[in-house]
Amino acid sequence: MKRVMWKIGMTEHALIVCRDDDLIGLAPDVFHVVTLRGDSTDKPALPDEFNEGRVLATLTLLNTGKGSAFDRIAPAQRCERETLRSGRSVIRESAHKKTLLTEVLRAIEGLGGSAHVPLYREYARRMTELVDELVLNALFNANPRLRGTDRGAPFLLAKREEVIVRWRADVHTFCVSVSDPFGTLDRDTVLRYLGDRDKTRSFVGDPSAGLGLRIVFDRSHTFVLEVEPGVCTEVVCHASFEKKLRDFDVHERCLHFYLRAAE
Amino acid sequence: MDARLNGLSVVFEGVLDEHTQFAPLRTLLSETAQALKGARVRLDLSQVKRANSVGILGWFKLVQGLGLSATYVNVPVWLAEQFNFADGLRGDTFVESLLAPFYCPEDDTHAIVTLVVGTQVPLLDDYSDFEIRIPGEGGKVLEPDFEPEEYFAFLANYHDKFAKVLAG
Repeated sequence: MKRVMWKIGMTEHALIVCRDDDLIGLAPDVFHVVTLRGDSTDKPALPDEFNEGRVLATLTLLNTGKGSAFDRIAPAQRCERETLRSGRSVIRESAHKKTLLTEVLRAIEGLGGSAHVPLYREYARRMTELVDELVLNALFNANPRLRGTDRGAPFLLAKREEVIVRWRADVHTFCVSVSDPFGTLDRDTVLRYLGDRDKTRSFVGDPSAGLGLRIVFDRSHTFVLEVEPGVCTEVVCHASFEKKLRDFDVHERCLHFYLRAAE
Repeated sequence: MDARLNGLSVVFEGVLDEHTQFAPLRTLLSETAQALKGARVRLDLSQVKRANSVGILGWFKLVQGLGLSATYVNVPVWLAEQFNFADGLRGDTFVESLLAPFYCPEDDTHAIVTLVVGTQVPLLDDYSDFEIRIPGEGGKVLEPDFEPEEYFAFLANYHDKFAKVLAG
């Protein structure tokens, strides 16, 4: 089943969700979009799996306070009994990426305990793939020097090109932040990707075909893009580890785009 | 990602990503196809733990570029998902069996189950009303931990082509 795009907004007391395929009318600097399963040819009602309270809570967190979205929506240590795994990596060469992915994979695999090995093994794979795609994008799409280069070739980034990755995971959620020092992502690119998000990719003649972004949308529930043009881009993704993979899959996907003025 | 011959199958293992060396894989697959003299090359990627977009696109281009008559066996979950994301089943390709996640509500456990196309999963052009239950241990029943309409979409997309291979 395809996903249908909805615009979302927030007043002081309520979440507004409205059907609108015309994204041109969106505010240029900040917009929020939610995609839900449904028939794109009709005007569907909000599906049962849409959790208004969950979206509202995330929007409230994102729109209040200062600092990175990661610090606002990533899981925090709430009590000693809970297991919180976290990491921070600076990516300067391909070996750093490989180490990071191994750390994420092992951390999540161990979260479910012996009773839920297959489930958390699957979540570990999904989150590792999510981080992999985000880092690939930061390395080879955001960085003008590496754009178009052979992605399998060794590379060494200068300090001013470093990609910073932070992640946290507990038994309920995973959150990752990937920052690059370029700020090259623009609103039109995001909207183009959004419009193409459900198409099956034809890979002939296209080196990436947008497949990476498709994977990111599939593997995360909340996708926050904060761009300071020419300065930095921070992508924050959040996923909920549902009791069933099926519930993970039907969960709404929210994209939040913030274009920040350079300070 | 490494590869080795196991009977009539080429078995792959490791990670499919930007570091995958496609040249030796191309040689192995070409030589295997020649040795089989027109029979289908069986591709088993069930030991490949995961993949990224660079590796997946490289793989699809490799298989399509070689013009292989290929049968995928034991398709892992990540690859089944990719068959739905990207058009990777062009040409003379077929999926004989795939892995899928299942859930037992009785004891809240999960399992990965191998499904054979044409028997456990009939070829349909629409899976929106398809229901599948698998017998588990101790008389328990496993239900799919996925949306059949989405997970089996590639089977519906290639219904006619796959039906010809099954009729074979």
